Amino acid sequence: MKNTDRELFYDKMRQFICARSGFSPEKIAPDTALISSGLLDSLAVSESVFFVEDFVGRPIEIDDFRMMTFNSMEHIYNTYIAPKP
Amino acid sequence: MNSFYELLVGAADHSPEQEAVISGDASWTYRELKALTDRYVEQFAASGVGRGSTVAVMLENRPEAIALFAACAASGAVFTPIDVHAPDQRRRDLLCDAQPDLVVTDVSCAEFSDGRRGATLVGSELRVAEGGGAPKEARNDGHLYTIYTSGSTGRPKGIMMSEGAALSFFRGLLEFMRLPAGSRYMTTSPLHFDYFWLDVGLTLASGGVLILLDRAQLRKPGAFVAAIERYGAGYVSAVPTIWKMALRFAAADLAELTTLRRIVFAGEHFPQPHIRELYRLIPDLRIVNVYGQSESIACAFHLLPNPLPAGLQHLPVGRGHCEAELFLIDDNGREIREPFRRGELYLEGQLLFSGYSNGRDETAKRLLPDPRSGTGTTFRTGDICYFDDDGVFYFVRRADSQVQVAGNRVEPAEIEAVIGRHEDVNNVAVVAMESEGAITLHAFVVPCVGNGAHDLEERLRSYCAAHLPYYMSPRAYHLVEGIPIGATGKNDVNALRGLLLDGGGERGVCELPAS
Repeated sequence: MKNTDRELFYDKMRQFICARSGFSPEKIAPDTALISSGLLDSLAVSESVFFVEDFVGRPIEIDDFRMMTFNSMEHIYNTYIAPKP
Repeated sequence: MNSFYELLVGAADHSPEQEAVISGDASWTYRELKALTDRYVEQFAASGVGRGSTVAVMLENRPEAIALFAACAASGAVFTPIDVHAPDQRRRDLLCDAQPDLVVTDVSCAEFSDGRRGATLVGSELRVAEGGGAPKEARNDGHLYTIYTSGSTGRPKGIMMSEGAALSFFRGLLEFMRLPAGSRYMTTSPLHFDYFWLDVGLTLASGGVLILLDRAQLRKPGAFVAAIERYGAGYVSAVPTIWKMALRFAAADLAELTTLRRIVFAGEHFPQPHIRELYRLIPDLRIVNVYGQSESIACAFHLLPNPLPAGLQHLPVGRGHCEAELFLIDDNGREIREPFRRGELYLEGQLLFSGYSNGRDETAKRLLPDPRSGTGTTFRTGDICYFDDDGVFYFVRRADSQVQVAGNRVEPAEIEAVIGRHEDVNNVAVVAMESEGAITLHAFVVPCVGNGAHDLEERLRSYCAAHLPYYMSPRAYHLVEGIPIGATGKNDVNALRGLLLDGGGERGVCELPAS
């Protein structure tokens, strides 16, 4: 995947987060904490798992699924979307 | 049942080969769980950890944690679970309060003993670091564990429970709902919740099979529901937030469940529409309402009828179990004897906590002589309740501002204290708003003059992420010029709540008068 995929994911994820939190999109950087900062509640985190599965077109493996892996867009992208070397 | 050790691993004496605990694909029999416990007891003894020691444990909900608690109980050491997911600074603060002699972690946070003597779990093997002095003087007067919860004074507070109090609670619990031997019971709570230990004690003392769900699976409601069926769980203990997510995202899967018969819940309000929907999807289901405060683990249980009666204003919490006496006191300090009159709930019995770890004043406000006689010890719960003609109690609200966020007990004052320490904050008020059974925390912040409000929300979000557990970080921030002051000279939370209700709830647009 090219870097544009990363940007595309960040854009879509930003829209998703803002729709649920009311936070303005320009304030969400790739490394902005999403869960620990209170932006996303439990329900929204579950929704974001669906969102990411939708984006990649396959279920996320539970085995490498840890509590805080969803804490930033960058972390989500690197863990679940970026091509593995 | 003479000891906490016996409560947890006593079933090994009559059913050694029965499954006791399942975690992932692995399972432990009662014999194996007891053997592991005894191995830890020996290691503690060899390492000078014994009566009067404190053992802090920072682990996920894994079988070794149960053996460690049983080993602490057998050794006379105080077990202190610390939220493994709390921010580093908060964990340091908790360790500073607990002053543990040993910090048990797994390899993922082995560095976190913070200068104290550490022990690392590698698989089930406990590797205790060298060092540590001779066993301390016996100062333990039966102190079994300390559990930390949000504190209204601005710091987390440790609730200290004695072995006698815990055993009293479990006698009450087992009298109410001892499980048939071999029952499969799934727990979803983290180690630092006392409801986790309620699940553990109930299942193991009943000779049941405890299923420890990997809590990461809770992020995917479909995976959680699938796990119930895969493990064949007849009982599942989970806070209402988890059921709400399952109903929202995996309702069809819930309807397909074949083994689930009982849901055990505690920790927060369960909205009636969610209960009715669960009952509709799973017709044989019954839900057990566990009610109480960590200061006694829980004081009442109630098996909610299926279907729920129509027009129920509040959920019944029960009469109080056989080890707890519940009574209501009115504003004049007199006991309420008439049904349906509201008053503050007091609790009496052997099951009461011994005090807060860091607050003699706080303890004195909550552990009081019986207001009816002026003697003995009662716990002033801070819950406003009433009872009906049958003596069944109903919880109405808190007398103070404490709230439950996704099952976690939260004092807004603690959040205010943390945010108030930020250098760019002049004043802050945290308001909890409830909608459809879910609590949202709003922070009203007055920035310091000069530093301006530029990027303050983002800075406060990262600051809270570093200092508070995620469930205590405010969802919404409102930067304001001033906060109205009430008659008592404190921030007027009701005025702020009114502003949010009046439609000023859109983020950051509240027009507040300068106070």
